[in-house]
Order: sequence, then structure tokens, then C-alpha cells
Amino acid sequence: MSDDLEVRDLHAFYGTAHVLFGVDLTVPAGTTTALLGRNGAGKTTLLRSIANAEVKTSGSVRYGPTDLRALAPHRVARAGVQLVPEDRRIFTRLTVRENLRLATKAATPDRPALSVDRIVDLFPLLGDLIGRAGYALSGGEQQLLAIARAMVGNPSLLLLDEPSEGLAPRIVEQVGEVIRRLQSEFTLTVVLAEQNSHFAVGLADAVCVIDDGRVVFDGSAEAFAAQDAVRERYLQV
Amino acid sequence: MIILATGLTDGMLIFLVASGLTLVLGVMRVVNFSHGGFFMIGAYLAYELLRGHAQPIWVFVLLVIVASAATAVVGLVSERVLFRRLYKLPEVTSLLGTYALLLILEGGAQLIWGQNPVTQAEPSSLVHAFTVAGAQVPRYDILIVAAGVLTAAGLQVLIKRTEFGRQLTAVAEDRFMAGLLGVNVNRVFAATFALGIFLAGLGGALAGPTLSMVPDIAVTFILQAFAVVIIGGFGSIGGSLIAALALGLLNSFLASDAPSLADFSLYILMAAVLIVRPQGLLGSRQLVGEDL
Repeated sequence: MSDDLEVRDLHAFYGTAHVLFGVDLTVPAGTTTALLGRNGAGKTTLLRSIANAEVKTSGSVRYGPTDLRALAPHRVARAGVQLVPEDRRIFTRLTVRENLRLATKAATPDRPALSVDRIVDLFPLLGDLIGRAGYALSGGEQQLLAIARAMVGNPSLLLLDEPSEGLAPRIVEQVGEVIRRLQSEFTLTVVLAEQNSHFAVGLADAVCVIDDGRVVFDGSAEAFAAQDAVRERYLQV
Repeated sequence: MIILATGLTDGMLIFLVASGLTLVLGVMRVVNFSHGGFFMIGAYLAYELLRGHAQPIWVFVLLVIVASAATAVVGLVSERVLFRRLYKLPEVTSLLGTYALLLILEGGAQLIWGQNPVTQAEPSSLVHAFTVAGAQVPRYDILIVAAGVLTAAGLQVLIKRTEFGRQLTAVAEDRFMAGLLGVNVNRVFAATFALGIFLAGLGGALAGPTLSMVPDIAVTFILQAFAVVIIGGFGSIGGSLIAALALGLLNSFLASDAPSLADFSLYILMAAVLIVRPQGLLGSRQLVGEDL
């Protein structure tokens, strides 16, 4: 079972700051959309708004039949939606295994949790780190654990916020391989927010570019490749 | 010997109160001034159930637990009505909110039980003292020390070895992320609060026979509990245990050898620890879930 993600006329606010202005985005079930834009364009806010995580919003965010805006964060998780935040947010006091086991709360009877063994099969590196405390992990290890932890609840919609940020090129490649493997082994709908457009577009079926809280391009990855003007205007730093 | 026994007993009572306080502070980041109010409610509820008379020990223990559980229920109601609104507010607001609750609890106790002191007898089989190394140690002290040891061990197992402990540790560190992973943060808060208030009630119920009960005990005891939380390190159960025992023993030694200093033991210990380790004995920048 999988569903389309449909965002309609989404406005988002932090306190009195208006951050997103009428964003529309459709991500068909089982596909990956790269969400591009400069720092501060609203990528993180859009992902948080989809997960209904500490952002005030108006408009509509539907995942299949479910109105995600009506759900508390833990219910969003149990609806099969997982957000992997940009700062990874590993629980430093818990071990890798405990971080993974905590995430079983997101599973439901129809979407049973993945076992630790299955996770280690998907993320072999974590096998050697399983008893290590979160604070003792490197940035790359934390990123892999953050994605692995999101997968424990067997989600169908994965929201990845800048997974390549701050990582060495070799580690970025590993993260890319992991995402590719997840796409091929699971029926996953993915929104991949990135500043590294080369990395993201290589993994995506479609591209959405936002700037100052508005969608400025929305099309297939091939169409995006032909849009030199969009790339230059909205993505060059 | 008697000094040691008294110090340990007092220390364990303070620990029971401080452990609940530090738990709530560590997980919810709320400084709960009303904690002492729940200590007082626990003492009075146990008094109501035991009717002030000496009871067989098993009746005493059972009714003390019932009184603590009833206190926890009052705590849960206040969590629902008051605390849930405080989690996201600035600290000053939540300080005022919990202080207001303390006044309400004290006022309520005055209406129900009046200002005149009441006393609760010890359990019938524990009235007498027994002799250790030539000193007379009240048997009731043993019960308090046993309760403290069981509580410390129980909390350690709960936090380190159970699913709930894992959730509590995660929520204490990062409630936002815990929620994203499917943990019902409000439920963890409510359960943690109920546990903290249960411990306050337990402290009060067990302290009953050692006190003359007036509504004011809500304030007198909480001061020591706060000092212990500060000395032990915010959110550290193990730190609270060490600090509470140290405070109890220091109190007891000074009371016998330097009575004029006894009232200052709290401040002496707090100043000494804070000069050397401002974060408290076992404190760190993060809260709860570590050590014991």
C-alpha cells in the first residue's frame, strides 16, 4: 500500500514570521522528489510542515487519505511518515541499538517494525557500532544511524533533510548508495531536501526548486537538467 | 552510631523527595515548586488512611503505598490541568505557576486538616529501638532506609533496562525527535510526572511518623530537596542519592558536635560543591538517564 503526498496552498509560520507562501507539491507514491533551494529558502520548513513538527501551517497536507496537519507528531510517525532532520538528532545517551529500538514506536500492526538484524543488513557499518553510545559516533555514522532509525518504523514516506550536509565526499557517496538501496528494496516515497543539487538530482525522479518560500520550478529530473536558467538563478551561491 | 543512623534516615527521606523533583526537572525541564506540596499531601493522606494509630507493619506499608498512589493521582490531575500548559512557556511563568499550585495545595490542606499539628504513630512492631554497636537505633529508621535503597535501585532498573526508561531518556534529551520517531511525548511526560509525585507522596507518607504534621512542611522539606538536586546535579538520580545522604549525615554530625552550625549545613555543603563543581556532583549539560 502506498499513497501520493499532496501539498496544497501551504503557508507556514514561525511565530509571526511567514516562511512558506502557498506551496503546492505532489509526490506520486513510490517516487523521489529532490527539493532544492538556497540556504533559508524554506526547505527545512516545508519538510517540517509536512511532518506537522513544531510549525504553524495553513493549507492542506494530505498523504493518501490522511490529513497530516490534523495529527500530533507521534501520530504522523505512525501514519508511516518519517522525517530525518538536518542535524540528525541522535540520542547521545542511548546506544546505537537503543536509538534503533526506540524507533519501533513508529511501527503499527500493518507496518511491522524492521528488526535490528534487517537494519544491520541494510546498514552494515552499524553492525560494528551497535553497542556504541550516540555521542561517540562520527558525523557520517550519525547520518547513517539517523536514516536507519527512520527506517525501523518501516515508513512509506521518507523526508530527508540535507543528508549530505557536512560530510566528506566519500561518505556522501555511501549515503547516496544507502538511499538508492532503500529505493530499490522498499516501496518508498521520498522527499530529499538538498543544497547539493548534483547529489540529489542523481537520486530523484522529479525536482522541486523553492526560493523565498515559493515554488519556482517543479518538473521531472530530465526537464530540470535542461533548465540552466533556473539552476543559475536559484541555486548558485 | 546513632548519629550515623539518624543521618542516613534523614538523608534517605530527602532523597525520596529529591529523586522525584530531579526526575521531573530532567525530563520536562520544569522546576516544580509544588513538589513539597505533594510531599505534604502524601503525609496527610497516609495519616487519614492509618488514622494516626500504630498499625501492623504490613498494613502500614500497604497504606503508605496507597497514599503515595493517591498523591500521584492528584499529581496527574494537576499535570493535565496546569503543567501541560507550562512546558512551552518561559521559566519565570512556570516558576510562578508551580508556586501558585504550592499555595493552593497548602491552602487546601489547611481547610481540610487545619493548622494544628497532627501526628502519625509508627507501625506497632517498629516502635522499639534495637541496639547496634552499643547504640539505640529506632527500628522505624530501617524501614525508611530500606525504602530509599529500593527506590534508588528501582529507578536505576526502570531508567536503564526498560522500554519506558529508554523513552524517558530520549524525551529528556530531545522531545522533538522522540515525537518524530513515534513516541507519545505527552504520555511520557504524564507518566514521569506521576512517578515523580508518587515519590514525593512516598517521602511524605514515610516521614509522617517522624514529623509533627502541619501544612507548612510543604515548604520546609522542599528547600532541602532543592539543595540536593543542585548539589547532585540537575536530573541525576545518582547525584541526588549521594547529595541527600551527605546532607543527612552532615546535618546529623553538626547537630551533635556543633549545634550552632547545624542550621547552616545545607548552605555549607551547597557552597562547597558549587565552588568545585558548578554543575553538581554528577551533573552534566544534559539531563537524566545517566548513572546512578
